[in-house]
Amino acid sequence: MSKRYIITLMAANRVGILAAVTTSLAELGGDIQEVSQTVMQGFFTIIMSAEFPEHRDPSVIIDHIRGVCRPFGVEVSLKDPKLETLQDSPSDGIEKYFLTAEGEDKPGMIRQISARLAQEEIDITDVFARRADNGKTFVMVMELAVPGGVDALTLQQELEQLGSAVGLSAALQHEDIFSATNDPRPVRLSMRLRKSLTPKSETATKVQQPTGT
Amino acid sequence: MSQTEDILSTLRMVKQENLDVRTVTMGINLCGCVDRDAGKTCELIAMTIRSAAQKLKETCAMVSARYGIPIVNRRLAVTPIARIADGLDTDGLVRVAKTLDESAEAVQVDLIGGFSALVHAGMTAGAIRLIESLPAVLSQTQRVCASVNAASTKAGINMTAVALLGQKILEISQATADRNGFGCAKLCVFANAPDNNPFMAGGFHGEGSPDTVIHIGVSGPGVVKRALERLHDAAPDCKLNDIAEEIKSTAFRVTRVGELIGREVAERLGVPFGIVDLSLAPAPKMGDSVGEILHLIGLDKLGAPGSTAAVAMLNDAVKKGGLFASSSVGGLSGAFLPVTEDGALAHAAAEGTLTLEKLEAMTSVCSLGLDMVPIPGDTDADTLAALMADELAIGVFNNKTTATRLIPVPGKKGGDTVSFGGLFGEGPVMRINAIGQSSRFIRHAGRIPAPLLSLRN
Repeated sequence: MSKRYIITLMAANRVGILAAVTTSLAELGGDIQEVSQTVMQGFFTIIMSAEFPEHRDPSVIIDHIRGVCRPFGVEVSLKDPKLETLQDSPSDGIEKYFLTAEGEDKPGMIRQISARLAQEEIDITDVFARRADNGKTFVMVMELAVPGGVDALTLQQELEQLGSAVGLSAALQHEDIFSATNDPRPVRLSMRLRKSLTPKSETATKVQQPTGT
Repeated sequence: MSQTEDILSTLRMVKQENLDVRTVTMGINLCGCVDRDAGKTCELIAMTIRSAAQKLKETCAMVSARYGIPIVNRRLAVTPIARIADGLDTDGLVRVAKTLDESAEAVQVDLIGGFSALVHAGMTAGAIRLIESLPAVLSQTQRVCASVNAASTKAGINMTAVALLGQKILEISQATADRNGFGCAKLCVFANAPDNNPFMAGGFHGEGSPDTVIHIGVSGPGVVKRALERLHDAAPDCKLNDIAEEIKSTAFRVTRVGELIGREVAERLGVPFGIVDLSLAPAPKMGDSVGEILHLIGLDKLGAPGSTAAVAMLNDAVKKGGLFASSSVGGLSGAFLPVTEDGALAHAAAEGTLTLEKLEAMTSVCSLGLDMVPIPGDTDADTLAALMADELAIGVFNNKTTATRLIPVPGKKGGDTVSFGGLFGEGPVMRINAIGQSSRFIRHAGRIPAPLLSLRN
């Protein structure tokens, strides 16, 4: 039996960090399931999900990674998913939108927008934000998982109003527009739309019928 | 986020470079409305349009919000009225036009095209009555757009029809003299009219189309212009083929917006998707001009030698990008040169570098023709007809679509300025060289036979 942990690491970026981290995991008998790395302003951060032999104590894992990565000054933290309350992630009816905001840099903008999204039960699945033009302007792109019941028109108007009140130009757009304009592959409408709009069509009927006993 | 730059560049096209869906145009078949009685015909037309288009506005709003792309206009294109009102007299035709106008208002669209007749191989009695009714129709309605296909590569040019249209255009101008002859801006005279064209005034519901269909017209001169500016910044010594490539890839991105929006609007309305037409359709505001693109390609003054070659390259690159983006490309798809609607073109015409003759040469390689061209109010009908014949000949003999929207402006002479307001813009009344010298030619009437399609040297 193996046991899964979520581990994050952070350090000033230098060549060789990932090699050191993976070496320490191999020595612990760990197996990486998923990993994501970001480098921002010279700092390196990793979040990963890895499986270890069940008898391996979490404090041993942290100490060993820290030891092997000592020359890099890596900060390590670890969570056991079994001990956390995880949010249900309903996959049905969720559509991916991008919220973009640009404008004069003022404090509190991400806070106001994210609070409004939380009211609608909209999950922010990714965020990218930076100051541009020597700190005068601010650019933010948020990837959102929007539940099916949310009215895009109303939400868009509200976010635009919220943005303009603090001098931001905000736009909410379904992900399909970005693949259509940037990807040479043929345009595809979201499957959800096809299913929900053509309940009598052949495709939809097939989807609704049970496929086995 | 790996997509960040893609997302920001798409957003920039919309927010800063005037990318929009210029029109969602619903094609509606009215063939089922034929009746000898004008009242009954009108009743059927009103019913058909309302039931087909009642959800068009809310659906467009929903799709526009979903993708954050403005949909500027909603329009309708109906079966050429000459076909369904063939049995009606001129009064009946005017009633039909008023019904179209009211129905368009009821479903909240800004224009309705299809008060049209196809007469390239000859005019029916009904088609003649329709052309006769144009001065009344275009002066008494707001939203109705008319078009006449007077020539085709397979049939030649119907010069009898062209001569008649010359007279009627002057009458339309007189009937709308209080608006500087604006009625003429709602009449398009075609050679090789495309069946499915979402842009007005030339749109109608073509032969062989389903009952209802959604077409999309996308524009984007501003997007192309900014892309070329960035290319010049990044590579100041770029070659013309680099410029053509940049236009092509930009046209691809713009057309994709139309494809996505069109397919979703059609899907939500439960009707077939027709065509997407990417045309660089300028608007009078700065930064949304085809003329400004030609400046960037390297012409200091529009109309200078080189202008025709530059337009040819632009038009071709736009078509190539569009064709790769969508397999449903149709309509006109190219670069328009409407004089009053394009600030840079209007300016060049006022300065005198862009003459009517040079503009005509440029239209032989652009996607429309002599479009939104104000001409002196005292132009005689035969000269007007001869101007149209020249433009139609370019289309017929080069196997392409051409069209005219000539506007004789009552009381104005060459060089005077005229304003039509809003998107129709303003510009100078263009001088016509050797006016009044074409009457004998036009009064022959008859037909210019169809051209030879082989031995093309």
